[in-house]
Amino acid sequence: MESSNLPLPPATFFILFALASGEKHGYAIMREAREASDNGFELGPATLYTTIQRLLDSGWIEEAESPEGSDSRRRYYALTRDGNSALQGDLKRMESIVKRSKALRLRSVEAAS
Amino acid sequence: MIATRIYSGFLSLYPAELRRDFGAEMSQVFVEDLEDSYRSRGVAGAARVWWRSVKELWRVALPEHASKREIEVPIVVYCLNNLYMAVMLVSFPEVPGAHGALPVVQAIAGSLLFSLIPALITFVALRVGNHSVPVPLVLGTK
Repeated sequence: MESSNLPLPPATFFILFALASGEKHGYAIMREAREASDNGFELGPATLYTTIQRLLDSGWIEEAESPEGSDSRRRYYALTRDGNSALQGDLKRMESIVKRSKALRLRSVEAAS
Repeated sequence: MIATRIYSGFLSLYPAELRRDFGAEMSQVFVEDLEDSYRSRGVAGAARVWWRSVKELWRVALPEHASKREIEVPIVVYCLNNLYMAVMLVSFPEVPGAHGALPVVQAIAGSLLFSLIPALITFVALRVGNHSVPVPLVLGTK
């Protein structure tokens, strides 16, 4: 995972995040992104599928086989190793920012007292 | 369903490759989202889905077309002429002998005449003869 890819654009991040818990079809990805962001980030169909198209091209996600009994019109998508590594890279980056911001906050509290 | 038909119209504005590969899925996802939003949040929910789709047209479909010179040049010509008309209107608010709505009508007609016609001519010229468009000078390196 190249650090030049980070930070991931929000649409890319939420699609990879949604697929981290298993393969999903487009609408399930959209719902998962909405829930994960506490309704703060809305993915519309055009943003969703332009991003899916880019992610398929870059090999971060791949088309998966549809589960038995599912709607045949739906296509399912799954995270690849590269996609997972990109997601982990961004999560680590966020984690370190949160840690750092917590540390800074502690320092500012100490300075105030 | 009328929503599907309208959204299909929206789809026609998206890049051909995206439509070919994902058009059916996009329509399906839109309709599912519209139905779910209407069920859970009523008219406001449905309106939100429509509004998001219009915003997406602006954000996703338009940049694709706007990067084409056939669209770019007429838009610039149109904007420049409108700017010129606006400056003229501000500079000369009083038109001698004109009363009521006439100056406004004149301004609108003038704006259309001076902006749409050159924009149309540019569009046709670019469309018909792309070779006549000045090619950016490529500087050679030693």
